[in-house]
Amino acid sequence: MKEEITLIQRAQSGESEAFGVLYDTYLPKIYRFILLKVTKKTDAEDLTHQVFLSAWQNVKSYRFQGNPFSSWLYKIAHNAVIDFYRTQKPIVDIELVSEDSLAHLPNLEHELDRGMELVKVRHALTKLKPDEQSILIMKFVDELSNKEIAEALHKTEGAIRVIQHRALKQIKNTLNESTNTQTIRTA
Amino acid sequence: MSQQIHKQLEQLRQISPNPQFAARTRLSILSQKQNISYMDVFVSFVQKPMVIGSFAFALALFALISILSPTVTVSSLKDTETLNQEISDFSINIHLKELSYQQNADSMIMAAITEIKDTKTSHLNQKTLNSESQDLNIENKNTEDINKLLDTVIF
Repeated sequence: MKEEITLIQRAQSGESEAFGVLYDTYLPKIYRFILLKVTKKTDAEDLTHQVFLSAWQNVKSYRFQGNPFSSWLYKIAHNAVIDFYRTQKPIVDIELVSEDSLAHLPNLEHELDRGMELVKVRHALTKLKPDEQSILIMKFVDELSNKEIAEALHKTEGAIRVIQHRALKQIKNTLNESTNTQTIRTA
Repeated sequence: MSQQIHKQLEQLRQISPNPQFAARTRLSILSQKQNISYMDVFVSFVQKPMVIGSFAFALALFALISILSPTVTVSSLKDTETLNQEISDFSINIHLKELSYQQNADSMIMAAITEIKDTKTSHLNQKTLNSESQDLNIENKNTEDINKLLDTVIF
């Protein structure tokens, strides 16, 4: 954490290489979070670019309040996704989503079953509300603590726990329905 | 089932950005300039030792001038009663000056009127006397005759 604070301070004084280290550390997580929210690879890349550009340009306004730098980045990313849906209103094509997500999963082309499972999970995620999606991705994919998620989404930790429980229940139902439909088709 | 969902979600960690995209974006972002926060600029300016020193010096100088300079006028301005007294005294002085001027004017006018009205009093105006003396024809023949007769009667 101390190293990160030093890096932030250096970035705040205009040292681009220090911000470069923060970028390398958090790019995969932020990109993954955005891709799982917007589903299209090109949109995810554009938004990721916007998020890190905004972070670099406004890093001087960042104030350390006990949470890691990632909470601040997730907050920017969350707002960027909200803005994206507010202006773009895209039609989510599940088939396209599946291809997109599979296209850059390493070694997945050879693991069809595993790939199909991931497609199902992605499909189930798209059925959730935006906040539920964000919380599940942050919690189980990016391994953020409830405190960090609460900070990024402007919610209390209690609210995060409730939404997480509801989202897991919802995704379980969706996956069950999907499995049942597949079983009937096979039969 | 929950554990299975957790595992499935964890598998999504394999998603990673294209390395070319990551490198290109990094280069593009870091070549941009940071936004200037005017608040930060102000704070950093204010925190400079020279600025703090100058401000403290100016404050001390102001305090010193305030202490050393006479404050009678300022304090009297604060005292309403003194101020009212000063104003009323000022008004009385004006009235007294007017009164003495009018008294002088009145006496001069009275003297002039009296002089005009009084026909017995000999005229003392030098200009008039001169003009009258010029009008007198001393060389007149009748005057000489009158003078001779008068001399005869008297002596």
